Formats: sequence, C-alpha cells, structure tokens
Amino acid sequence: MAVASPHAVQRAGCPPLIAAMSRPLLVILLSIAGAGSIVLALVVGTYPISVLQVIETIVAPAPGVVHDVVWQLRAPRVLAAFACGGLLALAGALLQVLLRNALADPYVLGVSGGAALGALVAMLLGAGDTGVSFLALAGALGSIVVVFGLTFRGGDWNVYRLLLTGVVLSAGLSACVSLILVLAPQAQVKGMLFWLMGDLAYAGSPVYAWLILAVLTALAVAQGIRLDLLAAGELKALSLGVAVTPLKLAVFFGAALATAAAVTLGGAIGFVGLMAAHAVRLLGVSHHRALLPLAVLLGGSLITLADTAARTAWAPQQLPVGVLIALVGVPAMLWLLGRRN
Amino acid sequence: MPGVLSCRHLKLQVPGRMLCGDVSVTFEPGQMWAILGRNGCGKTTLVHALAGLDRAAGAAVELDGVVLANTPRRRRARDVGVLLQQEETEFWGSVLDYVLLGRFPHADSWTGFSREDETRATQALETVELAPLSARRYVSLSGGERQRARIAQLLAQDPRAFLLDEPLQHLDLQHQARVLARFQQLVRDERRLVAMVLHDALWPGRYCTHALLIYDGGALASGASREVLTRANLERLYAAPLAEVSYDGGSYFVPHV
Repeated sequence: MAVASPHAVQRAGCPPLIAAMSRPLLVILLSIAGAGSIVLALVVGTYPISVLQVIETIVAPAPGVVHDVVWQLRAPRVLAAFACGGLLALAGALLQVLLRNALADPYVLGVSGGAALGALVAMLLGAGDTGVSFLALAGALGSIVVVFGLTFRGGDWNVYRLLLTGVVLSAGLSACVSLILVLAPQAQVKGMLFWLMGDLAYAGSPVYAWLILAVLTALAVAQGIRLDLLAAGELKALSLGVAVTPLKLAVFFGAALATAAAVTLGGAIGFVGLMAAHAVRLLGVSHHRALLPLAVLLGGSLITLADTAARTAWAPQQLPVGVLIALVGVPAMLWLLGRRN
Repeated sequence: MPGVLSCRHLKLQVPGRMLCGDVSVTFEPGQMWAILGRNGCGKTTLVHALAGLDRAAGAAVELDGVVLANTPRRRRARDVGVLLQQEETEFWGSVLDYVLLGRFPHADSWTGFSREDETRATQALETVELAPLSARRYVSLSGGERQRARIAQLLAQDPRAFLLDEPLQHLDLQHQARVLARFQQLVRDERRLVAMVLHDALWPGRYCTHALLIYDGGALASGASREVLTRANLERLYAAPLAEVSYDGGSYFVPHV
C-alpha cells in the first residue's frame, strides 16, 4: 500500500483555500454551525415547533407538549447524531496520524466490522435494541482486542502491520456479515441493511457517547503538540523527546473507543470519519490542537443535519443517515478538492 | 557544563547482519567529528544509537557517565539533538511550524510554545537563510530548502551535542560551507559537540577536528583528523584511488580518476 501523505493534496504548495480566514473565526463559525445544527434538528419534524419555542424550552424548561417533543422525542436522537459525528471525526483524524495515511478512516482497523457482526447476530437472535447495542459494542471491542493482540510487539509496533491486519480482519468480518445477510429471514434483512448503512432511529441514550467524546477530545487536544510531532514521523518525535510508544497506544485505544461508541449508537455511518479532518485541513488548519476540535464540530454538525434530513425529507419513511451523508458530503468534498486548482 | 558522549562496546547491527562488533569512542565537547564509511557500513545505525533512538544499543551509550537510555526523554532531547537522514513523512504545516517543533523539549507541554520559542525558531530560520519563506508550506520547499529547514529545526532544538546524518545532502556549495561554518562556530565558541556523517573526502579535513572511519568488515580508525585522515586510510576506506592536494597549509584529498 502506498504511503499517502495526509496532505498530498497540498503538495503543489498552493495557499490554503481560505488563507485569510483566521483560526478564531473558523472556531466561531464551526461552533455556530454545531449549535445551529442541533437547534435546527430540534425545530424540524412532524410536530411544528418554532425556533423560539425550542430555545425557550432549552433555557427555561416548562412542562407541556413542546417540552415533551423536544426533550423526549427529538433531543436524544439529535444529541446521538452529533456525538456520533464528533466521535467518528475524532477517530478518523487520530488514525490518520497513527497510521500516517490519508486514507485511514475509523473503520480501517475492523472496529465497525466487529460491531456489525455483533449487531447482526443480535438481530438474528431476535434481541431488542439494547441487545443489539450490547452485542455491537462487544463485537467492536472484540475486534480491537484481536487487532491489538495480533500486532503489538512491545516497543516495535509497526503501523503498516497494524493497518494490514485491520484491513484483513475487516475483509473476514464483512464476509461473515454477508453470510448472515444471505441466510437471515427476509423480514429481518431490511433492519440489518439499515444498521449497516448507518441509522440513528434506534440510537440508545447518548449520555455515554457525549462523555467519551468530551473526555477524548480534551485529552487529544492536550496531547496536540505531541500529535503534531508524531505526524512528522516516529523517529523525529522520539528524537525530540516524545514517548512514542505510549502515545501510539493512547491514540489507538482512543480512536478505537471513539469508533466503538459511535457505531454502537448509529451503526456504520461512513464518510464523515474519513473526510472531516481533511476538510478542516483544506481550510488551512494543521495544528492538532485546533484541527481536532474543529473536526469534531464539523463531523457532529454534518451528521446532525444529515439525520434531520433523513427523518423528515421522506417522512414518514425514514432514510439511512449514512446514505444521505455520502450523497451530500461527496459533492461538497469534491468541490473543496477541485477548488484548489 | 560537560557533555561527553561515549559508547563502550557498542554493537552496530541491522536485522540479520552484524556491521561492527565493538565501537568504543568518546566524543568530547569542543570537538567536531566526521564519521566516514562506505554505504551500508553502519553510520546511520551509529548515529541513531548515539542519539538514544536505538533500543538495542541499551546501556552501551552514555552521556556524562549516565546511560542515555535511562535519561528522561525530554531532558535527553535537550542534551542530544539529531539531524535524521530521512524524514518518514511529509509535514503539513508552515516552515515556521516545522522549525518550532524543534523547541518541543524546551516548551511547556500544556501551554505550548512561548514567545521565546518562536524567537528562537525565527533566529534559526535566519541562520539558514530561510526567514523569507517561514510562512510557506513545508511541502512547497525544494530539496535543499527542506534540508536547511531541518537544520534550522535542530538549531532551534539547541542541544549540547549535535549528531548530523549527512547534513550536506541536497545543499549547494555555498550552503554546505555556511552550514559547516555555523557548526564550527558552535563547537569553538560554545564548546558544543558535533559529530557528522559525511560522504566527502574534502570537507572533513577542512572543518573536523576528529574523524571516525568505519571500514568494511567493521574495523575502525578514530582520533584526531591529522592522524586519521591520511591518504592510505581513506583509500582503504573507499577502495578508490585518491589524489592529494595542498591548499592553505593543509592536505586534502580528491578522487583520482
């Protein structure tokens, strides 16, 4: 596999897309996008609620229909969507540093394959939402343990062996998933496909995901300079005094945990984990201290908006959010890449 | 403040091959060493071991009598700096960001780089004449400019001992001379230690006080340049005939073809 630089697209040395846009401005814009996407997602739906009503019920909750719709029906799903996007963006950005590969996404190490196998087995056994979430989590954690166990050799932890092991394991898991899809009763297949495409309709409580997102983002930002150094090369980081092996372990387990939390909540939603960090880099940010939180905000906003469209555009029919995000995200990303020349 | 870097019975080996069974050399402050040898003789392996980057070197390398492997990492990076021969990956920030990474061993890891760190990085860029390009993306630099940026990063790191793996690669003649003069200044005025891998029979005699020759088969010759850098030794080292030229009171060697 060719070693692709995460910034191969900037090889030509042209200035960043929006050179004049300062970092504080980007932070403000993306924070507004994040908050705005959540408020918008709470407003839009079958039961008509105005923006003012939503803000009112957030600031000063009073019992009533609006309160119930916002807090009990919409908020859990909206918050789950945002956490999912943030976690996937964070995991993708971290793995791109760890594997020094621009094509790394949260699923490259087989975490989603393990989760998918767990979730589909649970569905096959007729387990409820909790059972599906539980087995998905177990599958994700199981594949993390397997990849780690097969590749970790003390101080000499080769990231290419890690990458290849993840890819090979993913292929095996996806074969098992296909087998289940073929053998499963027809009635269950649609639910399974929704899970595989990424779907937040049955997302559980987003509390743990938010907790993990907050803690991991804070830790990753605190290690931001070390991540910059690791991205510049393992030997370079080592020579400048970074404890490289512990840092790589932390990045691996942080990214794996973020991915496991995200897929348990929303299934295998693609694209965001691969592209959020790249989009932020294309906006001219390369320091991980800024890049990681911005990618989290971007990923969270994207999935929140896409999920809002997924549950309202075709209502009462729901679309899988993973499909919508790719339909919207791919042209946007192609435009961003094309603008550079 | 000393800064004596020494190796005792250090083995140079790459997977499946023993290059040199016993390297025992003491590098002292105020000395400028040339490390010479043919391709694949273990020069880079030696530099990595001396820099504390090679776990296999273990207890064989000491700084001021303390085993380097036991020194806390960031302190080690303030004591020993290394110019790597190759970058494993491309850096995706600006040239100044790149040089600033060299300040990591001095920076507060919570608050990040200080104003002083930025000043030091800028000064280092001025030393290698890259200041006008400091806002450019690192990936947009030419090969020689990148090499100068990497040297600037090491100068910003400001260690007591400098280990340079082919510092002159990609540099034009003018910058080769300037880089060597700058390191000579650090050795003479501030009693730093410099040890560098070179692929040149001319520069070592001009700038280096000491030389370490690694012959094929693992034999060594080390000591003051005057004694080690002889025509017989260098012809044996490179297995190529050399011609001696006298200039400015010294003897230098050029390929005899």
